[in-house]
Amino acid sequence: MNSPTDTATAPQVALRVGGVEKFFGATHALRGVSLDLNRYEVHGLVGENGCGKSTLVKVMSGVHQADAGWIEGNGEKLSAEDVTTTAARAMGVTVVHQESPIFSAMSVEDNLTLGRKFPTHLGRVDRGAVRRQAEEVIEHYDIPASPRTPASELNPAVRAMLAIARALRDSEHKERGVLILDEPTAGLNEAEVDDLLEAVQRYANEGQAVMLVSHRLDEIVGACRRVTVLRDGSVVTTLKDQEIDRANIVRLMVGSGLAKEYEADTSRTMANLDTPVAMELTDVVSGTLRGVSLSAHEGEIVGLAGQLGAGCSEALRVAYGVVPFSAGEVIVAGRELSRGRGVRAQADIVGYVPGDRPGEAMFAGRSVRENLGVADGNEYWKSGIFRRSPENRDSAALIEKYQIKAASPSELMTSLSGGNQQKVVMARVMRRRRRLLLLDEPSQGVDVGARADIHRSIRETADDGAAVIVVSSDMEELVRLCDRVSIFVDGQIAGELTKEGLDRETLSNLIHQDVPTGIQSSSTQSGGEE
Amino acid sequence: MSTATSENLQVSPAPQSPSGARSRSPLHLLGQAAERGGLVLLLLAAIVVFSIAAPDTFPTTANLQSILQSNSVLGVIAVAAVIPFVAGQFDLSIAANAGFGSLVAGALMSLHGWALLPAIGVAILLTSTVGLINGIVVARLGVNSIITTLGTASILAGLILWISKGNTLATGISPKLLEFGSGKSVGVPNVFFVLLAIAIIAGYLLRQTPFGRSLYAIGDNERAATLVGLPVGRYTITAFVIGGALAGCGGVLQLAAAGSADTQFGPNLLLPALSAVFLGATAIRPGDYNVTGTLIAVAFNAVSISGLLLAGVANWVQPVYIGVTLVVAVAVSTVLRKRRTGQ
Repeated sequence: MNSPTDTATAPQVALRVGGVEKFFGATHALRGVSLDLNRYEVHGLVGENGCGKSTLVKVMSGVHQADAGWIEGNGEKLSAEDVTTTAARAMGVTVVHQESPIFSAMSVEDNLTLGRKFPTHLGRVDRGAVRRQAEEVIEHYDIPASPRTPASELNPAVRAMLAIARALRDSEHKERGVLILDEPTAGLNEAEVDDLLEAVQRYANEGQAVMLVSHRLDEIVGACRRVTVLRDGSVVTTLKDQEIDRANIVRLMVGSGLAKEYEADTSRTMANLDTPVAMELTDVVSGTLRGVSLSAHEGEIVGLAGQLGAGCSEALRVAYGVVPFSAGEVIVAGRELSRGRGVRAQADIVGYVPGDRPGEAMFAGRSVRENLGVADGNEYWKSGIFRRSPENRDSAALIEKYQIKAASPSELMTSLSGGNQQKVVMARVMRRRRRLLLLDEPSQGVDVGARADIHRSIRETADDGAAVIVVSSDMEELVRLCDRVSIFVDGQIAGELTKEGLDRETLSNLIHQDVPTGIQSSSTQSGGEE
Repeated sequence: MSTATSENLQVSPAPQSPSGARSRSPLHLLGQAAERGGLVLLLLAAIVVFSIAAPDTFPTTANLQSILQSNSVLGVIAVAAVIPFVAGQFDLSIAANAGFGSLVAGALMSLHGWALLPAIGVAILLTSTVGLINGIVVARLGVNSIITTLGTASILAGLILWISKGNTLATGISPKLLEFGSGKSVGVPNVFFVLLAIAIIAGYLLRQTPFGRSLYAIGDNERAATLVGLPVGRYTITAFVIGGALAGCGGVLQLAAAGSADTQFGPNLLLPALSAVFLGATAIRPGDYNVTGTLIAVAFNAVSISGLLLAGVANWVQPVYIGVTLVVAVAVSTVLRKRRTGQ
């Protein structure tokens, strides 16, 4: 057996993928993809939305069967057409998805026991054995949680660790398998990302070959020894060690020439704005919010930064009228929001993009056209008939403008990739003039190129006279987009940074002030991603 | 939110292709066309098969008239059920409500000597009120629609017994109504024209109005519909009210066609109506509850039952046949879509 130190000189290939081709109807999703995953290494997989990342993961894990190519692992070489989920598992492959099911209402120990047989004693579940097994796993994977903690009280990083531990424990290749993590850090803030990546590094050190699929290039740069870049279903290249840097990756992902513009910073200094105030919260108390005062002028983009559960998302929901507030005053577009007044009164002048896209923002079974026009039905209803051609024309224009990858306006929303769904949601909110935009993670799951487009559209909306409030767990996004950023800690505003003092590190430090890391309540948080 | 909405049972509108698909192969288009038109082809096939199996009795004008005459009421009730389904809600009381409407109209004329139009008006008003109550309990109190309407159905069954004292009401029904119900225009039973009119109204509401479009959105994701500012509660209630009103029309139509108000008629039509709605969701606009598909499904079931009967097949085969086609059709359509999309 090799120890980690030997492998520095001679990498030990754990899984080898060669010449994989995959078609969906007329779409050539993977074009001769080859890559090697080495033991003791974290290998990044990056690319724009729809470049084939998810398809590749599905082929490697046997969910989809490829049309050509081969996969070799654990001493076996199979034609990629024959790789089923069982075969993939035999080759040591374990996949943990972003949405791996952790059951909030159950305890850590029950979550760890689910999926295998509960130990029983005389026909009853043996709680003692459940606990002992859970304790072993918790200790082995170094998870900062106790067996009896309800999963709802764990922070997202710990939940992700729990999902990984459960998946690995069930694998027969606990130490020396292939661990594929699909967007494990979505919705996590920087400290949580650090915690999770540290754990991932530990799994690699123990002998796992880890493949990390992520949109967040900074974490890819920080965590990976190799990075494979996909574009349009083909491997552009695999970068090693010092070749891995952000600019380099972006250039390879989007192709030549365009990269510079994509990295543009749209934020600006908004000194002494004399435009009217579009939204003002005064001493608002609600759920997690403990006396929040916040205002936004027309024409400016205000960021809200904070850990999950610190109150950023909740502030948006209070302003939109989704959640009631128990004290304080909310004024939106010159009108006072009464405590009971709901969303309906606001929807015409305020646009809200919730953080939980599948649950609250999209109509999965409806077409792209219907998703875009769901709030604007009356516009196309003339003399008792729905006018479809103007609607189709407008939808096609929005699809073009926001570069949504959809075959036609009548394509179902579910068949788009996550990033493209997000673009549809953003397009729906921004197609009409509004006085206030409340955006919770506006570019979640969206690739670098489209993210810049979304940022540009947000800026245009602000220039048009709207006030924009953005909540993001991505500090980079806040720095590039916002004119000023309010920092939330534990339901209160702990400070504000204007353009001059705005940088990632400062932001990151501020949102973590006075709050212990590890287990903390996130149960009160609403609307965040899971 | 309710724990189980009709969405759970819906033929899931499956993903079509991975993102980035800009072109569609002919095979793909053919598959889609087969899916949309599959039920129509099945209907045509059934007609051909039974015409061969019972050449003297099945393909005759008299039999066609009899099929139209005896299935129009079922068609109206199925169309009535479509509307709450679109909003993501079950209405299991829809058939009982039709029976209630039929009995109220019958009782008002038969036992209380009312004139035709007021009796019909009050009957439909009452069935709409039942829809209103269902809607309020579901949309405002947040009670699961299956449970609510199951309860309503039981209450209605009780009320029907109370009003009728268990008897079939056959005397004193307006002769004009009976004449209409059994009559024909240009060789087509009058009741069928009522079905067509109701189907056109329902189809128009669902497909050509912002209300209908919003209803589909609400049925897909109630939470998201609320957050984009749709009046979710009001529209859900409206869907139940329209369903109730149309069920009432179905009830009156039954009174006209049968000539009497029978305590058993409503409940007996619940399963055939629901099965037509589900079967209909596999056709025309696969994945969506839709009026045209539902009508084709009613026609398919009606033709099959008539054909089996005339071909001399034993009684028990009919329900088995209907059950098998329902499950097989929905399963095939689900599998086809999965295969096509690779999801």
